[in-house]
Amino acid sequence: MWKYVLQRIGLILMTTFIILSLTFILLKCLPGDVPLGTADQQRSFYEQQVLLGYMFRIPSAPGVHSDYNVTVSGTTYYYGYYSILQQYGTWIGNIFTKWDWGTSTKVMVNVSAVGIISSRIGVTIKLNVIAMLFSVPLGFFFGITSALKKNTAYDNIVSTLVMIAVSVPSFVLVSCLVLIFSTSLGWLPSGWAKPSDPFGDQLKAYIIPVICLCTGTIAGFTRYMRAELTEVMSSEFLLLARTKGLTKPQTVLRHALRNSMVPIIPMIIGEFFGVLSGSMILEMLYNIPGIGYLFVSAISARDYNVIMVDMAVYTFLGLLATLLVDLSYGIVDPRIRMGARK
Amino acid sequence: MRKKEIRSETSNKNPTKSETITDNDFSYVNLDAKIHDVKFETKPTTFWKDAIRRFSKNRSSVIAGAILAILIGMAIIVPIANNSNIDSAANYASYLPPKWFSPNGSGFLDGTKQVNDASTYKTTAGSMSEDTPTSELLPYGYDENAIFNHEISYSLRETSNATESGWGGMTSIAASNHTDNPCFWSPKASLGFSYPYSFEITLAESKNASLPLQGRTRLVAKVYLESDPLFLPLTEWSLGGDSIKAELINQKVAALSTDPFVSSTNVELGLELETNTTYDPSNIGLYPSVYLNSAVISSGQSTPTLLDKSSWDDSNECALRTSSKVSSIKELSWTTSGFATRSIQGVKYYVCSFSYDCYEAAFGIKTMSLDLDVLNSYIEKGYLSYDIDVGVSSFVMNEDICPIRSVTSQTKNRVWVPTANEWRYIYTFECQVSFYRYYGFDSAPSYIFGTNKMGNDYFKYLFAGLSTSLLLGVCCALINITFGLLWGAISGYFGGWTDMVMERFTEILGGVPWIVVMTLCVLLLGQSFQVFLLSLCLTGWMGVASMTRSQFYRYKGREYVLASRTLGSSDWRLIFRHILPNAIGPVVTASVLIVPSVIFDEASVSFLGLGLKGFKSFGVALSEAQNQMGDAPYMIIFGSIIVCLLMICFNLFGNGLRDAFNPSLKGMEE
Repeated sequence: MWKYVLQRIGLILMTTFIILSLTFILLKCLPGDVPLGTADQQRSFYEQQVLLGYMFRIPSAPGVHSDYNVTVSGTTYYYGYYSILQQYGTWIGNIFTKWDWGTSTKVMVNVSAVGIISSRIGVTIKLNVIAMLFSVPLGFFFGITSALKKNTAYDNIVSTLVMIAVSVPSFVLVSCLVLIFSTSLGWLPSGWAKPSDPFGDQLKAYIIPVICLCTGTIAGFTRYMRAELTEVMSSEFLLLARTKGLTKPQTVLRHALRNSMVPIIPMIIGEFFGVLSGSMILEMLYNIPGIGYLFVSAISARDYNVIMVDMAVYTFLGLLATLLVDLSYGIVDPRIRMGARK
Repeated sequence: MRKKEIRSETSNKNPTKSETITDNDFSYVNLDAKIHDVKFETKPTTFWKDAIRRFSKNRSSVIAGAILAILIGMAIIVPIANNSNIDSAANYASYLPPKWFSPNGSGFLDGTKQVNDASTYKTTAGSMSEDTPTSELLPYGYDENAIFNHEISYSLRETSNATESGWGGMTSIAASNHTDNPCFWSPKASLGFSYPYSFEITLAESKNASLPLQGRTRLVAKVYLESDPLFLPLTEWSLGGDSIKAELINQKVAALSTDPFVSSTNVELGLELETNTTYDPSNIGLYPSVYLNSAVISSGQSTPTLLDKSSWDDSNECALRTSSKVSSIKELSWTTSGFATRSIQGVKYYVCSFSYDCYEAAFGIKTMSLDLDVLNSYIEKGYLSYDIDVGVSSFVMNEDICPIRSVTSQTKNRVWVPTANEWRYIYTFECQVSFYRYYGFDSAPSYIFGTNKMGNDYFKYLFAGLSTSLLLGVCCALINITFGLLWGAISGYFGGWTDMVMERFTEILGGVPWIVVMTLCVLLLGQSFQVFLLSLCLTGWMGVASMTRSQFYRYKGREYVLASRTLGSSDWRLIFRHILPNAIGPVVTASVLIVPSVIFDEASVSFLGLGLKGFKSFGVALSEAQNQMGDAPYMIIFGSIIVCLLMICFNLFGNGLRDAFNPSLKGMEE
């Protein structure tokens, strides 16, 4: 078991490493960064790039020209990029020795990319945890009730709603909710609240994003729960439980639900990480200052260092999710042995 | 065995009796008849036929399939059949709401929009009051002819800003420190002192009474002699009251003058507010203030002097004088001095609400000034005939497509043309122009999904985009299936090391979130169709591959494969002739769902601002609608309806197909 876990973690780290290396090299193929900000800020950016080992100074001489230059108090400083592979080597070195992922060039000039991410990730996680807190119980509730009332009007309505909820893209849902509750009725804000706003407004600002995040996951849980429970309900051991004299609620609670949980618990973990990385468009449309919105603004501003770190977070989260899902199967269901030969 | 059974049976019937059965006791029943399989009475069916039969029983999937077919058909037909222009800007038709019916004022799909609380402007001169006939007020910035039924409802509002369409209100003069007495001055006027002036200021007593700190007020005159101005109190300090009144006569000013022969003097009349006596350290920040309703200066002369004209009984009007661009009005404005702040409160104005026919406004008949060249161009085309010398009465419309419906007036101006060095006559014609004909339409257009910011028909725009996205989806599905099948087949069939290496490869590639792959590709290679196809395929094939792989694991051990192998079939033949045809069913049905996921992915990337360029894509159309939601909510509504319909139908259809091909999965999700 532990060997398997270690193997998997090793694989994850390796995969992340390969992906990030590829991304780094591909991004470096794009035209280089020219920072924004004042001349001093630009110079300090270049100097830092030199310090980090991505760039070198070109001594100012007649005829020398470089696209990367800055004029501070009359003197023009020229800089040049090392070759991509050299930069890659430096980059790897910086990460492993100093945990330095570079600084932002456009989004927040000269702020370390890791710092930006860590200051923003809180909002995203908070939002997703709240969404999960709502969607797990609701999804279970609808799934269980519709499985128990299989093929009734209630079940049909729930199934139809689930079908719609799964199909409707989240960006459409955001637009519709904003249109109805913000623009027309004016009950809810049409964007994220500022930190200075009163507590009530801050709370209100959570409603639309949480609904949007919840809808898909509730529908997912409902349809899984229903499918699993229906299958378990028609199995022989449940019939046995009934024949030995247990009441229906007893059989459902003690036998059916427990068994149907086996694939559901890994799914909760999977959904959580899936939602975490999938709320990018929602964050953008609702102006939520999380890492998703950061990714979007970094892309539109071409702030490569921030893109790199954000991408690392997303990739790592995605891989971690698959590992946790696989592990949780083994934990929830003892019949499944991890790493066993088939 | 048989004997035993029979014995036991017989022993059951008759426990005491024992019987032995010999072979002779048995006889053949139909030895002469040929024994063979009975032919099925039901019709023989194939895998596909069976699947179709099962699918057609699933009503919701069939309906979904039909809707899907309609949508796809529309995506193909609409861009061809609909000849609206969606390639260039047509700003005159920007943001037209959807129109399905003739206008009925409901605002629902009839091309009208409800305009609420639009500001108004006066059509007739004169001061406003609450009982101003409201028909004289019109909405500002809207075409009055396009107002549905000409029904405008007005409501009265109050503001603390001076507005052109407002009236009334109170002027407030407040001190802003406790050392200087603030004053409120009339314009500076040269007085001939042969007649007395009466000066009266009305105070808004009810308002003043509620002030935290009232000020004592008095009227003063600021007299400009040769040197510095002199302040001449006209009344005693007084507190509150309705009005303060003073008489200003020649002698009083003259008495101050050192020059006895002064006959005319510059004077400002004003109100002074006393601050220093009412200052109380416990009231820091609260300074005295006073509200005024009117200030009337009267000389009683038949020709009003400047001071007469500067009188006001309407604070709004008085405040507007200050910002007026007309110098004769601006010179009547009153000013403050000292540390006074002047503000205005309770200005009344009307706002109007109405139902606005946007199509009438864009395409209806409007008055337009045209010059001779334009008129001549229509005359040359033979649309109309007109004689400039005869004038308006000679207008004859020859063809119905003529945009100019009538000429209402003709003016002729003599203009000096410096380049030709001569005087020329410039004709201007006031015409009634039918705008849809003017823009080249045969009949007044109506857009069922409205128009976007560029004035393009959103219906065609959306479906043209959908056709691109569907094409992208289908191409993507084809590539994914082909590549995924090959990959999965090789990986699943050979197993072992091959499988291990190939699996690790997909694991690494599959670990990258699709959005990351997509943005990287688009950033590196540009926003073109091929790049989108490439980036969607890069991550898309793995689903098909893993499914094919598991199918191969399931089928490669079957007896028929073994049989074929013993007969010496090659791997190639085993894979493509024996296993693949059996394994392909679920793969194909699952790949139906690739198309909606591609549409979804494309839309998501467009929302991130990296949408397709140079193509009308569905995602771009949707993200544009999202950005313009405030101006034109109907676009996002229609776009959402179509995208939801598409997704739901694809999902239902795909699920139906899966159930039909693989009944054992029925009810299971994923």
